[in-house]
Amino acid sequence: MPDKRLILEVDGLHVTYASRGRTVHALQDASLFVAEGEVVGLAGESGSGKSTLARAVLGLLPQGITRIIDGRIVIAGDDVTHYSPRQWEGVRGNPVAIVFQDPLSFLNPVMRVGDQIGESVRRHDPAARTTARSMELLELVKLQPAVLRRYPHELSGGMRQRAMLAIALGCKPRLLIADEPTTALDATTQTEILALLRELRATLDMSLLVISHDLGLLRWNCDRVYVMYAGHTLEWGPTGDVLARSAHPYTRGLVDASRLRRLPDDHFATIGGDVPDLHERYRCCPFFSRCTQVMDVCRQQIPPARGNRDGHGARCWLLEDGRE
Amino acid sequence: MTRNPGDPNTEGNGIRRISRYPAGLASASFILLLAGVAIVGPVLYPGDPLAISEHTLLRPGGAYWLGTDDLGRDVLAELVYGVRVSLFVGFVAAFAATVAGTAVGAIAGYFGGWFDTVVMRIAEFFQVMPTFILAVVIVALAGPGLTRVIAVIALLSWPQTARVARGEVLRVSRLDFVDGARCLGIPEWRILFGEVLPNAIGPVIALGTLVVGYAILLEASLSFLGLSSPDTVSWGRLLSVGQRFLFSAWWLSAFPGLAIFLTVLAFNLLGDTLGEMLNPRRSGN
Repeated sequence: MPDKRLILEVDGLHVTYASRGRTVHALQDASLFVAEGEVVGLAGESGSGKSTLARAVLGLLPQGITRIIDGRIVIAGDDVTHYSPRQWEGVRGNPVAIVFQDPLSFLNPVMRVGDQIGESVRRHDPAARTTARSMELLELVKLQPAVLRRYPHELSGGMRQRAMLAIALGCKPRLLIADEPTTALDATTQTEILALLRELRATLDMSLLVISHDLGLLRWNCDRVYVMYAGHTLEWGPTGDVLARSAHPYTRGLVDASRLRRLPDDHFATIGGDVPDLHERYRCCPFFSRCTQVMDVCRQQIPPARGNRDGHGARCWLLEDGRE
Repeated sequence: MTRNPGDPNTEGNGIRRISRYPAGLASASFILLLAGVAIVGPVLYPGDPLAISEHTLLRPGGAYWLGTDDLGRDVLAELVYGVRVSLFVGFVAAFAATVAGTAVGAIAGYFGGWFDTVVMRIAEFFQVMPTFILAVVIVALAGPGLTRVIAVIALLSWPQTARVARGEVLRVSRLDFVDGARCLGIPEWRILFGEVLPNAIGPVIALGTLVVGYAILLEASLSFLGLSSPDTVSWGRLLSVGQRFLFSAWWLSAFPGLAIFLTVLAFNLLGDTLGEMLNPRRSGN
């Protein structure tokens, strides 16, 4: 399927944290790829490993307590899985930059916005005239030039997110990761930021990996989506196919829940059962205990990845080869 | 951090902020006054502090406002000259201790590892040592002299600054924006000195002010014990001279003592105020 060049490829990534003497398997079998120019969504509930994946791709997993047990991360053709901190400095910003959910805590409180943009410009584009380039970036994210002299706490939530974007774009990334880019914003600001992201994707030649628990957000903005659960990528494929013709019972549950579908008894649709326990590594389907269509085999073996020609696939025993 | 109107920690500029702390404002004014005396004092009060006259042990008042000592020297002129010595020693020693302590503590806190372990053990060594006795021993062995006294005070003060700087850097380096800077591919050294340190420096500056007071007191104590060169007019030295006439000429020890007391008090109050104003847990950044 990947006939275009891949900017990011994550293959069977297994990451553990040491937490209070126990091991947490935050990522167990995460695989995804992003081709150049593509917009890819990564969906999942809290604790599904979305953010761990984003941090892993930037080499930001907490040192000392994290271990990459298995799998690999390839960025622009380089295997970066076991890069040293020094080597990671050459990956961060360019080719991969990130904007976070909470722009205030990710901006330096004692530095003016202009200095923070300038810092990223100077680091990645030493030949550029910093001020001119900073103005250009502000224009790109639709902020007034006066913002350059402001401190982060003087800006509104939407402006901070735009400032974060300007800083990230200052690195000229080939892949921009947006980790819950609009979760902390109110509804109207969300729409503005999304419109901006869509526009930037068209203007700038870069790929986008949007991480969100909000399927509605991903639906309108992504070429393809991945659905994560308990550190596994359970389903993937073209956005429309995954959301309209979900192959995995978990995805169907997620879609139903996100549509706020009212059940006949006037309750909202939810997914029953408990959140997964990540203290153990799953040797079977991670969703079996909550699945409405659970079979014996689901409790015994890990389902293989199966997909069709369009690249729509899932890990579920309900699927047969070639079928959705 | 959001702006809270009326919160003294986020509202207004520095002068308006400090004006909400009366003790801090008074201390700052007093220190500015001292600095003024140190710079232009000898012009305003042109007496030679070392000039001997036949008017010995005069009471305060009259031609000599604060009286004269056993050799007929003008106490006020001596005090005015002593300001220079005290402030010079205080500021230079505190500056050296703050710079060295901050650099060492920041690197230890940010990079950790063996450097952290070694430096913090050394800092602990200095903290359990009775510092004053150590200072006396070093100055007695090395011989008196202003530079030596400054060096000894800095040597004894940096560990405290290092501990505070280390703690603050540890706290700040866990904040999200540090990861944010990392995401831009900024090298670790630049992150430490460009991003982390500016956010960690508040409590260090507050402590630095306290160290000035401590240094002035230590210098006065060393001089009082005679561990300063006799040709340096210093408050501690005046005190040690006055001690011999404690019951016959109280003004010889009372005025230098008062000067030391007020100066050290002012630096302590200012340090406390700055500590409160710059406390990250109160202002929230």
